[in-house]
Amino acid sequence: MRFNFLHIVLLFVLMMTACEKEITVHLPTPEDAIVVEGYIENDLPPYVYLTKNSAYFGDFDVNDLGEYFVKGAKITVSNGKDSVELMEYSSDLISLLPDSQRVELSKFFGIPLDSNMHLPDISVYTIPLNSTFVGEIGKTYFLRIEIGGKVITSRTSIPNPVAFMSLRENPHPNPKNDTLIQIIGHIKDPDTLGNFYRYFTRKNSLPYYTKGIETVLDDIFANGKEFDIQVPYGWDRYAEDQEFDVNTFGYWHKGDTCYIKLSMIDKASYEFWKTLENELRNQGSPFGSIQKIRSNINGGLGIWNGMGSTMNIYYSKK
Amino acid sequence: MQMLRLIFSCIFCFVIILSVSAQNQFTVSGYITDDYNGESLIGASVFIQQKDGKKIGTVTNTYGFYSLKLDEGKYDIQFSYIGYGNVVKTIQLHADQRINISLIEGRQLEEIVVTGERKDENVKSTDLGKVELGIESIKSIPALMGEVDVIKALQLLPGVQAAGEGNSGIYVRGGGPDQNLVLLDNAVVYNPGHLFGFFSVFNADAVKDVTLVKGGMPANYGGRISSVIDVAMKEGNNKKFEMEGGIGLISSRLTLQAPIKKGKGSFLLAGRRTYAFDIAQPLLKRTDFGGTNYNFYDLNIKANYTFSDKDRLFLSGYFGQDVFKYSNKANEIGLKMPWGNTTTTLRWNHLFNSKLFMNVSFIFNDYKFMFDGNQLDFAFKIKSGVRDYNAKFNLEHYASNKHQLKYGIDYTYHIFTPNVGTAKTGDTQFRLSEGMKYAHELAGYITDDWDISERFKITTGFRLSMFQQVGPYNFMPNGVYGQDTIQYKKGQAVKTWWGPEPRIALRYAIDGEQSIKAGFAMNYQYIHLVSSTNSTLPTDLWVPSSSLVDPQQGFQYNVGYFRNFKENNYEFSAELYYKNMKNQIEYADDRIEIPNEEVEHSYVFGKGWSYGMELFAKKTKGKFNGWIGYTLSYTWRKFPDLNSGKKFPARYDRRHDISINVNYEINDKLFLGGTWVYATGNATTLPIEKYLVDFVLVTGYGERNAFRIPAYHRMDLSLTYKPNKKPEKRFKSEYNFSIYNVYNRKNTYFIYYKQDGDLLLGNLKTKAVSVSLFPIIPSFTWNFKF
Repeated sequence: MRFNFLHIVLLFVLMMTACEKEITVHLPTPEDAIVVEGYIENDLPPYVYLTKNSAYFGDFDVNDLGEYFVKGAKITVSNGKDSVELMEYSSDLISLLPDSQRVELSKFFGIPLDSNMHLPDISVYTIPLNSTFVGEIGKTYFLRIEIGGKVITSRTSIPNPVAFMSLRENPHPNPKNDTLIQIIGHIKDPDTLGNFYRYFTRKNSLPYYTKGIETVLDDIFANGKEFDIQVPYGWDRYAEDQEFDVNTFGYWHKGDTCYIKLSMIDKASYEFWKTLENELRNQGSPFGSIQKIRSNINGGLGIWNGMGSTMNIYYSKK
Repeated sequence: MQMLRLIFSCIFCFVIILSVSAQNQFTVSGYITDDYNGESLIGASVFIQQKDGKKIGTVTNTYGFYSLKLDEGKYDIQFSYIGYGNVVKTIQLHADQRINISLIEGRQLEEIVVTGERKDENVKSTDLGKVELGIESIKSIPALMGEVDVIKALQLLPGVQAAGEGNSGIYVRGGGPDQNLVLLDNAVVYNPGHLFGFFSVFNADAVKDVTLVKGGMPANYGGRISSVIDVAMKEGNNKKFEMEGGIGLISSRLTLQAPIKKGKGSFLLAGRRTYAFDIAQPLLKRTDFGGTNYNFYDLNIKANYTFSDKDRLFLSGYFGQDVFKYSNKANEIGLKMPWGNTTTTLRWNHLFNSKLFMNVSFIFNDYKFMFDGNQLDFAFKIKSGVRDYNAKFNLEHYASNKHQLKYGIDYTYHIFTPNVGTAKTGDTQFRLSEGMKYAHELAGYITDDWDISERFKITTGFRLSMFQQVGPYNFMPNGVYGQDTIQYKKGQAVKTWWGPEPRIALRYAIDGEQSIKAGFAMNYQYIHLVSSTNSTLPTDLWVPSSSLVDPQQGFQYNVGYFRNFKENNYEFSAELYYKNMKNQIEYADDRIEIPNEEVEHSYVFGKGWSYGMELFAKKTKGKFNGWIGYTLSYTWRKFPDLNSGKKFPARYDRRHDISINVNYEINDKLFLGGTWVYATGNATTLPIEKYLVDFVLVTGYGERNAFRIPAYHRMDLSLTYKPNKKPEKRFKSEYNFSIYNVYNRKNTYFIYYKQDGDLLLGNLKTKAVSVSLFPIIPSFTWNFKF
């Protein structure tokens, strides 16, 4: 918080005189790495994306997205007792997935899988059609990936979910913005220390979650407390004309049906998202030091993320 | 404590032995002052030419006091100070004599030719890596926006690097900014920068003299492993009322000096305040920066009184603050962020006899940072800082002409406030408190300047330091409240360290104009500040050595060759150094900032070493004078938890550094000053890879500090016009016109990366952008004095 404000101050100083120019920088080539993005949530099957890292200055073309996806991996998820080998669904096979799974996928990854949008050549690993393997609260899940003779492993767990006790709305402080509202959640943190939260927002008929700026929270100084917290609406990543405006960012609209997924995550997952969001914030800021993103993946980058989730809905009146 | 007592007993015996050595000798002692304003002159020389051609002499200490022991007889004693007319006194010595001398500054002398023989201290002393800059030479250096800056002047010396463009932070011989001991009239200044370091807190009008010790710290200094920047404030004119001031682009200054009782005591009051942002308010209103304001001020106060021939009292204080404010009423956002230093020093000089000079100081200093912000229902208040209560007892003992001793004790009680505060949302309060930390720091020292022979001189010193963190303190090994907390009661020792710190310096004079010097110094540093950015920010925390952090240790080895030419008109020196640093501290590069966790939990520890060569040539007199300095240096760090355990260059590793500073007196009214600096680009860490998570591209970084930003160079010029040179006219004014960055070099301040385009539209591009800070900046300052 205070550091963000400090950055504003410093930028203020810089803006008085600073001048920018684009330069060419020659960077060394990075070592090849596999990036894992995997989720297991209560009552939902596991999903895993595998991608490759790329050189920093290469252009990133969505039409070549397929080139970044790692195919043909053997992925096993187990809870210590039962295990399942995941099946790879490439973009043309995703339509085979049951509706419920497709909806969940689109909510996660922001690709409206139901739409007629042309899907890039991506692939996702999840349970085969004949499996009923889903996440259970309190269990630990082991991930094992075999690819090109390499083994990548990780573990995560699904913590007890916590729901908002209530949700309410507050008007925007500026009467000019009287169509905007803030959503305030009232919550009771469990008594034991070490609860980590992540939240996701979407509204009305939007098929996917928006992208938050600071989506994780730990209870280190709120342990066991009952408190109010603002739940900002994230970026709608496909909406056009997205300009960051401090006056409107995070606000919902009057009359919105507000869907807020609140997920309890383990410490390693919290640290991954926290450092990732710091890194994104530091990009372009001269005063943010380098932030290395933590990972719970052995032999790769990324995250294997267990989530104990609740869905919280607030209906705002017009 | 017993160890300390033992050491002091030894020192005492040693002193007695030295005192009883010579027979039939008498002491000449006294104070040397400026005839115009009664200011004591630091480092003025006092010497006699013996029949065999040998010189015996000494220099005045920080309070202008000297003492010289001579055999019975007749002498011509010469008193001199650079830029001042010499005075020669003939005395018949058959008893101890007190001779107080006032010297007349060359500029006041008019017709009289200034013969002020240049002191050859740099060749004769054992000082290595020590530089003194008088305020006049600092004022002749062109300054950014016309703000004369004593710290930036030091950056033009070899071995000293600027922390960044326009920044007054300094790195000395590969040491970090927290490793410099910055003193103002004996008081530690914890944050010597205004506006994030763009300006230093020292108002040049209130400063008399600045001494930088970059290697081989004498034993009377300690507590930091890199350097000492010792700033002495003016005492105040004790002869007549004097007012001086200036109006500049950024700030204005006013200094008043007057006698309390003529010749006995005086005071000085100096103030400086910025107004640039106040004036800019109407312009800012319609920009994104509407509602933003910033200012800083400094206030220096000093008074001194000579009660008797033997007693003098000084009281000095510094009060400075930066205030940043932001308010956005429409969105109910408000923020106020003040920070600043306060220092107060009370000093008592007492002369036990002509050979024993005592100074006792009581010092209070306080650095405070506060943040008070709110947005709608959410309010956030935090403060941090350091407060010291410090007592120093120093004796200077002019035991004989061969031995000059200094010994003393230095005690500090530290109180650290590490981000203590509260946050409130609606009616719920959150504790954001790490808890205060307390510590005792104690040191005893002795140094002996020993003239073994005409050629050999040795300065030996020993400092024994002790640091003890004490309760009340809750030690949380995991950094988490409530888990395995160990509680310490008030005053209970948490952890104690002892640090023996030997120092030695040798001089071998080849002849009257050349010498070779060598030195070794070992230092302990018990308090630490780690910064995650290039410059130190006011939010950076000072933390004590504790169960989580061990003291830093520095070992420095120096050799140097010193040579003066043409009757000391030209000075040349070449120095080599090697420095070893243990328990160096950085932030972990995957740290997560937790608001109420002790910052020490984010530290990682390793070692550092640096080595280099410094060349310095100076022309000290004449219409055309100045200096040129070159530094070749290497600075490395090795941390098990950083850069996969491989060594990496420190952020301030700089291969080449050149500084040129020249002054030219065009005529008696026009003065030209110029500087040119060149420095290898800073080491920085760059991203080398990107990958997709949650459909966003995130960055992975390459090896630590493996990349260099482009080299830095810049030229500044200044022209000063002094229309009135007539001494009978009291009112004098001068106009200073200066240009910063004359050839408008776009030096890279930092490089950042931005992603343009849209991932899903397939036109996403990553670019590197260089940001440069100050283009060519002309400025104008009007100064007056009467």
